[in-house]
Amino acid sequence: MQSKTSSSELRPHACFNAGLFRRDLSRFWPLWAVYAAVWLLALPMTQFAQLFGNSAQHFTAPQLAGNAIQSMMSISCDLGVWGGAIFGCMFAMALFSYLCSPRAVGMMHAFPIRREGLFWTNFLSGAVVLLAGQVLAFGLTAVMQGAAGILVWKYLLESLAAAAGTMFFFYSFACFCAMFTGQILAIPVFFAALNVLAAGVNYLVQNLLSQFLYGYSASGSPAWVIWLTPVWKLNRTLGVDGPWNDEIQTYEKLSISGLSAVAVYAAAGAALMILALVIYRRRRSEAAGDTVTVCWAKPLFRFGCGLCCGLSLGQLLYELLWTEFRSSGQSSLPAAAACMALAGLVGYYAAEMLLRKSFRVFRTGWKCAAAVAALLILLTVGIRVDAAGVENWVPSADSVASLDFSISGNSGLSGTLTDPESIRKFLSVHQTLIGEKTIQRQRGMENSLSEDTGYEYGYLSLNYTMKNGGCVSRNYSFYYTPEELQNPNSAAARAAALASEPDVQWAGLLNGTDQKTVEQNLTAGEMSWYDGQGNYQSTGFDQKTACTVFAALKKDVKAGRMGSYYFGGGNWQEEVYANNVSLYYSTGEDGRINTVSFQIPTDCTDLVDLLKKSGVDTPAHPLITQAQLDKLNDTGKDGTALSATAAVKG
Amino acid sequence: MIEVNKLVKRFDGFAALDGAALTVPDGSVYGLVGPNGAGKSTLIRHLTGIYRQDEGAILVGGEPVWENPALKARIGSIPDDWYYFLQASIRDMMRFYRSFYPRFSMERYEKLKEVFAIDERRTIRRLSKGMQKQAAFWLTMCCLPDYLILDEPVDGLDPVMRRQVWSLVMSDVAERGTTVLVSSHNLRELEDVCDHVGIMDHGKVLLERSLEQLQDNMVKLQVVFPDGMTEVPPELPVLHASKIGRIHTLIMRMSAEEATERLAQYAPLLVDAVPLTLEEIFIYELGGVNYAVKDIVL
Amino acid sequence: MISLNYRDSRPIYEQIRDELRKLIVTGAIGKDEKLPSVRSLATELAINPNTIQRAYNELEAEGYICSVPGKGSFASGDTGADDARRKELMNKVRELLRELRYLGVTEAELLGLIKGGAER
Repeated sequence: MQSKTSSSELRPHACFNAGLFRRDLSRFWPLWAVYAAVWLLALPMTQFAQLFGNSAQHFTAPQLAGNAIQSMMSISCDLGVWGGAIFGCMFAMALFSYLCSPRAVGMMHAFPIRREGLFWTNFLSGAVVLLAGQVLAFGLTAVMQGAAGILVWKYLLESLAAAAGTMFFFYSFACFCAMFTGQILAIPVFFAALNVLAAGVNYLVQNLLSQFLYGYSASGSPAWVIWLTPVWKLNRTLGVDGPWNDEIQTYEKLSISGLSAVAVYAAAGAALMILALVIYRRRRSEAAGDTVTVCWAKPLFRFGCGLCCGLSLGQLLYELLWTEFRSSGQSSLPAAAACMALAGLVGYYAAEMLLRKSFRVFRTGWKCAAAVAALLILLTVGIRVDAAGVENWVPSADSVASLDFSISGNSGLSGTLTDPESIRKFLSVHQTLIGEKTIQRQRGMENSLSEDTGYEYGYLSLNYTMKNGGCVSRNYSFYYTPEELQNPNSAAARAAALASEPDVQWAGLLNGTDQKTVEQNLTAGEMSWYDGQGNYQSTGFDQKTACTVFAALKKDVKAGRMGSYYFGGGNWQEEVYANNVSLYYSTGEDGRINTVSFQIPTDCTDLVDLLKKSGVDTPAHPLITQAQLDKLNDTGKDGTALSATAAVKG
Repeated sequence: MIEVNKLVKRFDGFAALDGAALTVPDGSVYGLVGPNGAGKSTLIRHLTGIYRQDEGAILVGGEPVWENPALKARIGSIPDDWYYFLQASIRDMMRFYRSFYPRFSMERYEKLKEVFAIDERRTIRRLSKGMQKQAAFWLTMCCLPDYLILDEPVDGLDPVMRRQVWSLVMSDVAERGTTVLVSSHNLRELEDVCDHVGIMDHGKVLLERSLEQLQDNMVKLQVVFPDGMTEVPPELPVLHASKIGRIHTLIMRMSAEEATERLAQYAPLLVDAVPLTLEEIFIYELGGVNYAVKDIVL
Repeated sequence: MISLNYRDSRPIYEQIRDELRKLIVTGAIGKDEKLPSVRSLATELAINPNTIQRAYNELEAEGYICSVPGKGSFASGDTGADDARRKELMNKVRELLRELRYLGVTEAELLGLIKGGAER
């Protein structure tokens, strides 16, 4: 006599259990509700406000469409990244919380379901909610946009794809992290740490390098570091693209850029999902409550904590201790190594305490701790002796896509260059500077110790953007004597020569903007002049004049008539007019005004003639050199405006 | 049949199970006894497929338990700390169990509702520990398991409920041939319900016997020897001997009949065979193992 | 039907066996009357059915009951029962007699007891 069973419709499947799925959905409904609310507020509500709210009447129909779609796309991207990181982590924590409690894991793993079934059912619950929230929000958005008549499915689906892809990646990543720990609060910590690990370590190592290596600057990041920091990469590449149409004052043909990066991350998410399952199967039930559950991850955790702590706290310690003692530019290897080793030990033992859940960890494991300390010391020494040859490394001309430079001596210029010839010239100066590094270090120390060394200061900053997407940056401070400028092989002389190169000067004038952009967007210009009573006034000129001035300027620069006054030498008081000429041009939709400003050497005949002809240089407001100005100030009897001729002649 | 062969399980170097082996015949009730820390709960978690052993084999009904949903569906287990969802009522947990166990019987569920007399809609969290245990029993029995693994099952139940629960379990054993493994501290209770007993300590099963074997192979005799004999004859194989006045109490490892026969040759004035309790049997069985048996007895 | 004394140190199966035997001997379970099933006794007393089965087996060996497969166990009423059982009981009586003699009970009193007890 068998009892009647009534559950035949719920046969346990190998990979999925409907009861568990339903349970997940009902158990954590507040979390799902908050998530859905965030999406609903972010998309349909804002769309509603934009399309049908009070402000809508101020815009034309195409403007409404442009604004609404741009806002939809940009919100999808931002929420996809930040919402994905936050909610992905919280979902993973909720759904796999049972793995952190021995009682709960005892029940779940005793049930007649394979580990795969548990994993997939729980994972799917989170994924379904993630997607459902988005589909709901976008569905309502479609309704709004449809009602307003601006619905274009392509834009909507692109936005949905961007949001869904990024959220899926972060959720899978969080689930992956959840497999490695049996402490619920360790999940967000691991998740956050792994997200920024590459960028963090990169920054720390670069900081260390910049302490010891001549010219090294910590502001460059290789492409792979950026890829391994998803929030950074996605923030950079994911965005809304679309030209601004000035006539109708709105965007046209909007699209989301960076969808390929999203696809890469989504694929990575799928891989992480599979890996999470693999780890789950290997993970032992008794690991609930442990900080790290998988045995091969424990040494990784220990060493990782030790090294990261060493690099971060160690450098902090070094900064705190050594700043008092050191003079700028001087660094101490023993102090740095000692600080890093000590901090490394602290990190290692802290990790060990977390793993063993006890404070008594010092007796065993000292060998590994010593290894960590040794590694850090080795790293510091290696950096100091530049074992990797980073200090001497100069990129090859073929691998550089563009260069943002800044040269200065007495005054400076900075700009962007993309043509290979100029880049090669810079690379050669770069090389020379490296050759002088020992001398420069010495001079740097002398300079910081005493005021009067007789050295002049020069500065060269190089930011190479590589063809593979990474960027390398170097900042060189160098000291030179005026005699050195005569020696064509010295770095200072070479830098000075570089500053006189027409292409370089032209790039410096444009300061990063494209030449065509400037040409086509010039609006006006003005010139400053000295009124003899201690004030500088300015006189403006119109767009047409500005264009001609620009053309003449270009001619003079390319002909090399701008001269070389950046590094001492030359007689600039007599050879350059003190007046400042500015040309204004606008870029982009926010109507920002940029300037090209310069002073005119007397040799620039084209420019001078043009200015005279266009009525900018008149006796009322003349072009005047500094020497003449000085004489004026010395010999001027009264404060009245002088005749230009008299001033010029005198 | 439940078979455990040379099971080894280490936690961070400490061997919680060190070559444990036991056999539970089909349809029997096996009592697993041992002091705290013996490894009973660890062994049970292996039987239910929660832990995976480092070495050794576990076979239930001839198949390994690990990751075997078809087999696990026929195993019911009640751990000493039963887990339930925070806001769940018994009814909620019933639905959850029903989705996992294909044999779950609603008929039995309704019947047992009368027996346990707990409101199925109350949040389990608000029930007393004893009632929570009853709820665990309620739901597990509804799954109609072929194998029942119980870890300190009646701990915390009042005597009436204890009897009720055992009655339920025994009924299943009689009717459906359920095989039961019970772990407990309490030998007195197990004496009623078990027909096989195994004793565990330090991760090993030291001894395992059927109740019959135990009871038939040991006897306590109260003997008065004739005048002239003050001491027990040395050639008698005695596990333990004590004396009060002229009455000797002898424990011998043989059946009562055999013992009486052996003693007859000494023409004793009085020979009285007294049955031993399970506790006493264990004490004397393990006396030879140099073992601090007093830990087991409550 | 049967009650167990938990403080009795005898094994359970012995208690059940003895109780059932008493019921049969005193006629509470008549000839060919069906005994309670193993299952129902196990449920009622909350003890192991195998233990109960053992008691039944021993009663059957002693000849007090006989089991019919599929139907259950019945009191056999066959008083030509076990030799061993007879011996056992005789020994017990012998012991009792010894004690009674020690206490000074006369033979006449004992004979009177036997005569009286034999009548139902």
